[in-house]
Amino acid sequence: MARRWWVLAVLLTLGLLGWELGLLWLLSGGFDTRAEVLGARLAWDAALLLPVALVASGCAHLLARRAGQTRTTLEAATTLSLCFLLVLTVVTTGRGLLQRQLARTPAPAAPEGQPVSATDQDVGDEGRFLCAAVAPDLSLPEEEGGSVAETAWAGVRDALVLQVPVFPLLLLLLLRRRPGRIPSSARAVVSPLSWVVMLGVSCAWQSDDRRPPPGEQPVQEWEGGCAPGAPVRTYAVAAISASLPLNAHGDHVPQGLRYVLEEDSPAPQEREQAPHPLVLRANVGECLVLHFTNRLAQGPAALRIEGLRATVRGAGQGGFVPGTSVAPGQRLTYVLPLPESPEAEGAYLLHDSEDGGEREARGLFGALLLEPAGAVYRSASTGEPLRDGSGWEALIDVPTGQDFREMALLYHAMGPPEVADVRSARGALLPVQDEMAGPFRPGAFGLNYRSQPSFERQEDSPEDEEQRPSTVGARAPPLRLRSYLGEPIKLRVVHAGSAEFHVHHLHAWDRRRGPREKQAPGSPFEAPQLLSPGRALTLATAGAGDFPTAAGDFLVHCHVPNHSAGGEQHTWRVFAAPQPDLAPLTGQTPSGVSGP
Amino acid sequence: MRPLGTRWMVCGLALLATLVGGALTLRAWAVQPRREAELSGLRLRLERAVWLHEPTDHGDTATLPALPGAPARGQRRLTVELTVFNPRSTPLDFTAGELRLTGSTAGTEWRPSAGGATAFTVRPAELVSVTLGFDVPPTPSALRLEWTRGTERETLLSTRRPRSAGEGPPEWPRRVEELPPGNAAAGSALFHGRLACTACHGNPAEPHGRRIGPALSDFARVGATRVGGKSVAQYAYESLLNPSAFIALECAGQAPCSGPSTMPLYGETLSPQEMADLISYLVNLRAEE
Repeated sequence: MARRWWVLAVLLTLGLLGWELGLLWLLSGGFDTRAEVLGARLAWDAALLLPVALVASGCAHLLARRAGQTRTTLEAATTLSLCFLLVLTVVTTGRGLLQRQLARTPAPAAPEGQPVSATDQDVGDEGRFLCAAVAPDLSLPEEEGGSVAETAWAGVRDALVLQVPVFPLLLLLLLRRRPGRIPSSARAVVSPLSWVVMLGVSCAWQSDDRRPPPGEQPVQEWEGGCAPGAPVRTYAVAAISASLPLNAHGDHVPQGLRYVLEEDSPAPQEREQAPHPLVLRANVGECLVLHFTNRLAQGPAALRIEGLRATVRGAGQGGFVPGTSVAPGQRLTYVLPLPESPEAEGAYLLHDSEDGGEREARGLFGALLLEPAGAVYRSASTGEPLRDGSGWEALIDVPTGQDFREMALLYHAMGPPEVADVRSARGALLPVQDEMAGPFRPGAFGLNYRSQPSFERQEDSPEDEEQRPSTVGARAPPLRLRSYLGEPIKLRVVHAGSAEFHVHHLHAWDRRRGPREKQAPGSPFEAPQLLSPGRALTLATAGAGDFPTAAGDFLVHCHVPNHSAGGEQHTWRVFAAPQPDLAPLTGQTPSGVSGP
Repeated sequence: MRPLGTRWMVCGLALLATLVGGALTLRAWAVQPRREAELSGLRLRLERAVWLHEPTDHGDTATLPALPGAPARGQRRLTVELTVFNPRSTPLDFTAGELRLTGSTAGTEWRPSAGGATAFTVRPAELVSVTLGFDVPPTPSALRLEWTRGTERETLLSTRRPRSAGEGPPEWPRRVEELPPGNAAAGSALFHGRLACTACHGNPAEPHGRRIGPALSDFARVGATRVGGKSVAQYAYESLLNPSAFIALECAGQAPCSGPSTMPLYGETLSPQEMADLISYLVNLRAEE
């Protein structure tokens, strides 16, 4: 008899775990549940459900003995299911009340150094059965520390939801134990173990973004995206993996990712030892065709264009909402009818925010700059027309307006500040610093893949440098913003993903002369500017009379102390005299006092 | 043998429990958030939703400066990335105002504070990626991200606002005299050690040393005369609780200090005893005659 109870309890427990899994899957709404959380919670639920089933079986048996009569299968199943519900209600309610007594708050605490995802499926706290997660609005008390009655009622609801399959399951199990009542083939079907397997198989069929909804045909009208006669500009962009050098010390992100123009692929590193994020340009009113290919060795990559309308076609399209993520070797084509309004001029973020932003934190971001209609782009160094229109700095010739010098600044974080994978030239993780502004890893923050962290570095002697057999990462010169005195300038400042605020700030005084030499107070260049994810802004100066009013070196940094100390601090050098590698704007000749 | 009525009653109870549980499950299914939805012909997918990392999350005692577009003090920002897609053959309008975050407490809802002015006419077969931000004050309520178009409504996300590390600071008294008695030696240890105040203010024992913030070497005298009617201790206390309350007249290089102050909010990290100790140290800083 005892063995029979055990078998029944085990099968019932397995069936209920399957029910919980099925509920989670059916009611997940497309949100993910972390497997490590799920496993622990299932084990905990099983440890409680098994005794509940055993006690319920014992109660049902005692009731049957007291009645002294042989029961039908239906009677046995109903009695046992009611006993189970009774015991389960006591357990769920008691568990909830105990949880309340311990005053454990259900709101997640923000873990140190990390943002908190809101799209991981909420599986409730450990003080509840997993089924409580399927309807937080129904089964969780409305407010933290709700009344005893609310907590008790939540326990009753949990028990009611959890016991839904108990009665039919017991009926089938008990029928299965009576030979001849149902065919042996049917027994296998009704086995709770089979249910669990079936549910597992069902769960494997993910409700991902690619599944076309019933009755829907993939959209075919993408070709009509651009206005007739609009100039067409085409870029071929690829996602590649590459170590990202951050500074002259050789600090680097070994598992870096970045967007490149296809013509730079497959060996962009040879061409560009110290890369910058990909910055593309196009003019308002144009038709931009953007081919995106995943050139990563493994894993998907996405290209998301913030704030601009586009049609997308290519691999994996045709889902409920077309995805922007493709497998290695696959390609997407975006067609963007760029807005014609002059107000649309500015910076737009390109990034891969999937996988919780993990690839974005490793460098998979860039920017698209919309320039005035008819603008022509020239190299900031040579003044020659830009071959491909890309690059973080450029001279912009505007046929019907003011020419200007343009610089794009992308503020970014290489992952959470304490755990970012930033390594020294020798390949060792940079030490975590814990100063006034809390712990962070130097190099975790940067501008345009450049990071100038402030910390006491164990500098190598020149002898050591020579004897060192090799270093892991390449070295990158510091980011140096450059301009001539009196030039019209547009600074495109972009928040390059990451779940952090940044505060762009220019110290408008020469770093060598001190704050007494403050220039153009009140200029928008000097005011701190908040940057939040997905946002970008343009800071413009008309030239004379605005910042800068004198040549010199000016600090550009993030106003958040950790970010600045962690690497987001660079220099803007303003020249008064012509420089060999810095082309002036058309018709402007730098002259005057000697520059630095 | 049990009476027939009892048997049917037991059987009915078991069935009733199953049906009630099933009904609760169905209701759960009806209100469960779905990250993909279609309303009035427009489709939307919630790509990512993140409660932004705040400086205070990793032990940072500094806070964001009060800038335009920044969350107000105590608020946390939920950033939401959406993709909007028009599968129809006619253009459809979309505005960020269609999204709102609602609390389970009646009447609490938040509109996008970042990207709230976003508006598009999405042409057939077009998609557009939009990032919005919602600034939410401390609340234990379950929050739901809802998308509403006309009379149609869909829930995209259910979440709870995470607590910030420094949330729930002690209720500081108005008057510094209400703090416990301070110990200047313990305050000195805090100043020169854990809080590393010298990083910005320099060492008070070296009045002409390098620093970027206001000098504190003669704080006992300067602080007593800065704000009329405030004792030096009260001035120090209010400045520690709210660094931008009074902007010092002179920073590095004898240049005027600029606001807002970037000094950390020590009211969020210090205990009342530590606050008293620190103030006790500061009010005893005097320049040698």
